[in-house]
Amino acid sequence: MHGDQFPAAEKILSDIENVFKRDKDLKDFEILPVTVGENKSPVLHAEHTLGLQEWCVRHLYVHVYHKLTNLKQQQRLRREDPNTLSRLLLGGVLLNPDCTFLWNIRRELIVMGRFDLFSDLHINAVTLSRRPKSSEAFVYRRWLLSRILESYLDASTTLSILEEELRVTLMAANRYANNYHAWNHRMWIMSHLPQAQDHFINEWVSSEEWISKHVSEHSGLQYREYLFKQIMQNVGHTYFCHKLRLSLENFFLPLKSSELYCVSLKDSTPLKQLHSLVIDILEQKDFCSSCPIKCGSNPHILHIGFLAYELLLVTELIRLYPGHEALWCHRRFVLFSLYSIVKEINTYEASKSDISDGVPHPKAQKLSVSDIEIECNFLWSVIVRHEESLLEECSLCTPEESYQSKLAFRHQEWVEKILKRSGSCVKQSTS
Amino acid sequence: MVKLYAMSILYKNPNSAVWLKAAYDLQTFSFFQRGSVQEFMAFVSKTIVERTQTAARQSVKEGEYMCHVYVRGDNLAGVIISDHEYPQRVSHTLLTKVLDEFAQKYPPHVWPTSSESSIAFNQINTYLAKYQNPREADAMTKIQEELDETKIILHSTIEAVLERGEKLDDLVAKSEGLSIQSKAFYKTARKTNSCCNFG
Repeated sequence: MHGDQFPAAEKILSDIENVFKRDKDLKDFEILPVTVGENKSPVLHAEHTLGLQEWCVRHLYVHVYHKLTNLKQQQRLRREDPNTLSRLLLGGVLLNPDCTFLWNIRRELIVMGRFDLFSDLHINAVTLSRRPKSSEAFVYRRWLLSRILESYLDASTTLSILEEELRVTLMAANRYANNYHAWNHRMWIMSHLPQAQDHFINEWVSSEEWISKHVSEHSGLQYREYLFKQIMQNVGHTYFCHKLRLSLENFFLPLKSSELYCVSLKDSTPLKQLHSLVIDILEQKDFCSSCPIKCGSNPHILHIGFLAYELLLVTELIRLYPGHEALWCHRRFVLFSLYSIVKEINTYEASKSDISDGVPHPKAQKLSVSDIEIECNFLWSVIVRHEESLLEECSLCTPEESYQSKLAFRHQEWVEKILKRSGSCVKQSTS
Repeated sequence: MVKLYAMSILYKNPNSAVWLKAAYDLQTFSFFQRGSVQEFMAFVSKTIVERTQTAARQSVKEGEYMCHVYVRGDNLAGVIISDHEYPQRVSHTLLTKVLDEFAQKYPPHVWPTSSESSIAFNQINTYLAKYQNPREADAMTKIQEELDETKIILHSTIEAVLERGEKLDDLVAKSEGLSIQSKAFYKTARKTNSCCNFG
C-alpha cells in the first residue's frame, strides 16, 4: 500500500490516545454501529467508556497494520518516533487484540524499557472489554504480570493487582459465555500471586453466586473445583464452619432413619470418631468449643462438610434449572471426591487392623476388610441414599424436561459403574 | 446466564397496547448500547402484547433471549424479557403475581386512560431485582401449583408471533418508538447475525 489513503487516521489515533491519557479509570471499549461518517471525530467518551464509530474501523486498522508492517520490514521500528509508534500500537491492539504481531512489538518495547508495565496492563484490560475471549490478550497479560512479579512488591501493590485481575477476569467471564481463557487466567492468578492463598475461601464463597447464575458453564464450575482442591490442601478452621454445620446436618439426615444410626463401632478409630461427631451434629448437641463442627478433632469432617455443602447446592440447582449437563458433571466431581474420602478411611482402617500388637496378620486380611467396610457404611449409605432419591425424582420429569431425564439416566449409569461397583460389598451388606 | 432484563405492564386496547409501567436491568450491556437495547425491548414488548390474544400466555425464544407474555382476561398484560436459562415457570409466576398486585392498587377503569408517568408502582423495580436470583425468590416450591390453567404457547422466533404477511424488518422501519440510532443498531445486528437480536 502506498501513500496515506486515510488522512484522518493519525487524528483519530491521537484522539483515542488522549482519552487514555485523560481517563485513568477507562474500563470499556466498544464499536458503535454508525455506518456513515459525518464530518466529526468518530471517537466518543462517556462514563469510562470509549466508543468508536464503525465507519472508520476498517480504514483505521488497514492504516495501522500497513504502517507497522512497513516499519518492521524496513527494520525501522526502533528508530521510529516513540509517540507515533505508541499511538499506532494502541489503535492496533484495540481493534484486533488477536494479532500476536502487535503484542510482540509491545513486548519488544517493554523489554527495551520504552513502555510502562502498568499502563500496558490497563490498555490490555480495555481491549479485553471488547474481546473478552481473546487468548492472545490473556497470554500477553500473563507475560506482563510475570515481569511485574519478578521484582519485589509490597503487600498493598500485590493486593491491588489481585483485585484488578479478579475484576478483569470476572468482567470477561460475564461478557462471553463459556470463557475458558478468563477462568484459566483467574486460576493462574490464584496460583501465582504471593498472597492469593489468603483469598481462597472468599473466592469459594463468592463463586457460589456466579455458578448459580451461570448454570450451563462448566468453566466456572471447574474454577470452583480448583478452589476446592486448593482449600483441601491446607484446610483449617474458618468462619465458614458455621455454614458447614447446617449442611452436614442436612446431608446426614437420611442417617436418622437408618439402622446404622446407633450402631456401635469398635475402638476409637478415626471412623468411630467421625461417626460420633456426626451423631452429635444430628442431635444438635451444643459444642462448647469454638468450632461448631469440632473441625480440629477429626481430619475428615471438614472435607466432608465442604463436599456436603456442595452436593446440597448442586442438588438445588439441578432441581431449579433442569437440563444442564454442566451441573451433573460437577455433581460427579463432588461424588468422586466423597468416594475418595470413603476409600481413604477404608484403607487406613484396613492397614491399622492388620497390625495388632505391632505384628501384621496377613491371613486375617480378607475378613477384616469386609468388617471395616460395614463399619464405613454410614457415610457410604448416606451418599447412595442421596443419589437414589435425586434419580427417583428425575424419573418423574414432565415430557418437556426430557433432556433432564436423559442426563439423569446417564448419571445413573455412572453411579452404577463407578461408585457402586467399587463399593459393591458395601451395598450388599446394607441390603 | 440466568438474568431478567425487563419487565413491563401494559394495557391492551383493541388496536394497540399502552404502557402502564416498565422496569429494566441493562447493566450487562455496554454503555453506548443500553439506550438502543431499552428501546428495542420496549418495542418488542408492545409488539408481542398486541399479537397475543386475551386470556393467553406466550413464550417466545429469540436467540439467547426469552420473552414471556401474559394477557389477562381483563386485558391487563405483562411482559418479561429474560435470558433463555431463566426458568420459564418462574417468569410466568412472577407475571401473575405482579399483575395481581398492580390490579389491586389500580382498579381496571383507570387503565385505559393512564400513562407511565401517572402511575407510581415501584414494586416492579423491587421484583425485577429480587427475582434476578430465583433461588432466593420466595415460595419457589409452590411455583408449579400456582400457575393457573392457561396453557403457555411456545414460539421459537419472534417472526412466528407476527401476523401473516408481517415482517419484523418492516415493523422496525415503521416504528415510531425507535430512534435512528437504534434502527441502525438493529440493521447491524441483523447483518452480522450477532447474538444481540433484540437490541
